[in-house]
Amino acid sequence: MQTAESGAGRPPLLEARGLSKRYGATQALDALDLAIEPGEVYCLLGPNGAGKTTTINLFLGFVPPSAGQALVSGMDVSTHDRETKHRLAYIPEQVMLYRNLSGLENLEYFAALGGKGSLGRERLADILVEAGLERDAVDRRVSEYSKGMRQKVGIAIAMAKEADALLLDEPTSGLDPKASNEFSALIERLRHGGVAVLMATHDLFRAKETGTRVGIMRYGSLVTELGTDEIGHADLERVYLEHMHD
Amino acid sequence: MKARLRLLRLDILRLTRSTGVAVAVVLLLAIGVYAAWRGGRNVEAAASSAIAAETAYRDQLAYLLSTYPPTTEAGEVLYYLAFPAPQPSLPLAGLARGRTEVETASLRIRLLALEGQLYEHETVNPRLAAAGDLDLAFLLIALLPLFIIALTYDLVSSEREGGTWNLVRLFARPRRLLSLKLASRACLVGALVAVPVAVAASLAGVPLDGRAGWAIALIALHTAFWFALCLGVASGRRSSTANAMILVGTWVGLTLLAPAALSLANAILHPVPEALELTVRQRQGYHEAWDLTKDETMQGFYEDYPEWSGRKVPEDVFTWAWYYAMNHRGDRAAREASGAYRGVLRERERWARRWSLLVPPLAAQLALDRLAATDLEAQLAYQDAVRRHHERLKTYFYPHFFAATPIDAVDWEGVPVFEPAATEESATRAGFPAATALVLASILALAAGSVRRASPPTLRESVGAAKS
Repeated sequence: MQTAESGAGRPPLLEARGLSKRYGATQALDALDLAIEPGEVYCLLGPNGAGKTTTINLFLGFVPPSAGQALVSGMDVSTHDRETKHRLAYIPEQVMLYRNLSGLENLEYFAALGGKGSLGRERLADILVEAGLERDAVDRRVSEYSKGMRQKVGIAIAMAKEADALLLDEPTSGLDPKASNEFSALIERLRHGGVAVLMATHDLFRAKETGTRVGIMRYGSLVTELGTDEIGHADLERVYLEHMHD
Repeated sequence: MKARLRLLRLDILRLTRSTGVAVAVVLLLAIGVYAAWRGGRNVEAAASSAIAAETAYRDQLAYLLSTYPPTTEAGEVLYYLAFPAPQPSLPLAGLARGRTEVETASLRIRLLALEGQLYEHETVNPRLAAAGDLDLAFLLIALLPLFIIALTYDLVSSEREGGTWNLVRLFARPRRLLSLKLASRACLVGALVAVPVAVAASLAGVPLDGRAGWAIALIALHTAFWFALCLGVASGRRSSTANAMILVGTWVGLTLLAPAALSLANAILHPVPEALELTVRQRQGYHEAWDLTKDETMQGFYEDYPEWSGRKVPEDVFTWAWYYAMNHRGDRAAREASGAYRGVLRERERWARRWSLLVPPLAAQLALDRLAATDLEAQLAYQDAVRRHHERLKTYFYPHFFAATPIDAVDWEGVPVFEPAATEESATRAGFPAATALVLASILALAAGSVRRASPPTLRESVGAAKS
């Protein structure tokens, strides 16, 4: 097992070391170095093709790296597939669920699949409500859900898994402001619970509101990194645009 | 365990909430129960027909004996009297009807020339036979695989195409997910198989013996074979459409084309004349005797029954001994051709059984027919039993013909009773080759799927995964 010690003596929850990914002639990610501690929300900003989704897919082990390492709690994703996946939860831009099942049944299914089969239906319904779903919607079929409602079920699935780290890929894309706000509140709660969050987003406002740190990516490289408490909304937008115009 | 049951319940729920699946389940169940009911009725009808044949014989005999004067020669009454020769159906015939659709197993034979009587039923109404009957074996061997394909062709691809694959992969290994999805589908298909089979077994009164055991094993192995085939194809990285095309193509090949091709090859390699030809030969042999002297006709008879060679028949008087010897002449005329006919049919049956092992569903179908004794071999064995019975009847009545015994002097209660053909082949011998073929084919299908899965993903697939 390969480990890296953080300041507190434990390895960061999520760590990229020289992480690279090449698809043919395209360098999707170039030697990314990154470390995210428990209770941190790291927002990756950048235009399409900057390497945000590739970074998340590498941490999830969905694609193998061309070089470098993606580490979860010090374990290399490439060599510890099960152990690292066990510690991760993931919410994609479009949470796709089983349309023939209700929100509660979907949660029940994924919870049981993830080894949480002992969670009762009442508890699972409570998790869905905690994730922001209306109580009367939990038993409706997912085919009747809006995108926001599906995102909330996705969050509930992540919550039920009680993962150490949460990977989010454009999670608020297409959500209305209220739903986005609720989503941010939820991430905040998870953060306080010690979960490490890596979120890829285009939403500068949400990144500033939700994140503890932001990293701006371009052409597969991390071009700058900022603490969100160091800058205001306008500063973040300015810095972002400066890097985009270079 | 609790989590597994929960997953199983939810996966079955997910399946059955699909309108297509729900409709297919209801339809297959309805067809299955109907086929089981038909099978039960066929077995019942065969039993009733045997009783009816015996009753008809008793009634006809009583009628003849009361209509003709007691001094009438037995030969005259025997011209009309038809003796029952019913072959009892095995209860398994309720599941696999086989050739009983087109071949009767309840002949009523007269003491006249036999050969034509064996095939007379074939000319009854071929159009009805062409439409075919619906038996459970057809449903399980031909139709059920389509349902299995419909349930499994997108086992993995639906997750990829539906966008749930990445989420699922975070929770479980693909192998675990596959086994879960297979288990839920196996439960559904198992119920679809078990219900009609149980109904058929109950209606037809199938005993829990070796034959029933092998039949159930073959049905289970055939179902497992299709699951293995579907798993081998569906666990690859192809799209749902490609999987569906491959599997439906395989179904068409294994269920329709390969059996038809084998049947055609069998017919070309083992040509048999129409049974009608035998009847014509027999009729010619009989009618030619009208132009011969009685002594000439009797010579053939004496060759086959030397014990009667000392009893000459008069040339100028009609005798029943001569008349039945003339009928015997008809059978003698068709004897060689009949032997060759049966020999080729037996060779066809052996050839079909051997080569069907390359087409597992066909092997399963033939083995089920064999176990139910509704195949060609059983039909030929029945005809042999009828021949033996006809011979026993002749042996019983010839002394009366030569002695011109009046009907009131015949011991009608002592007339030989039909001895049905014995089902000689053991259940294991009937079921084992097909079962082995199914197991080997299943292993092959799974191995082919594993080889495909083991190959590294293409660049396009890698990019696809990254962007999903």
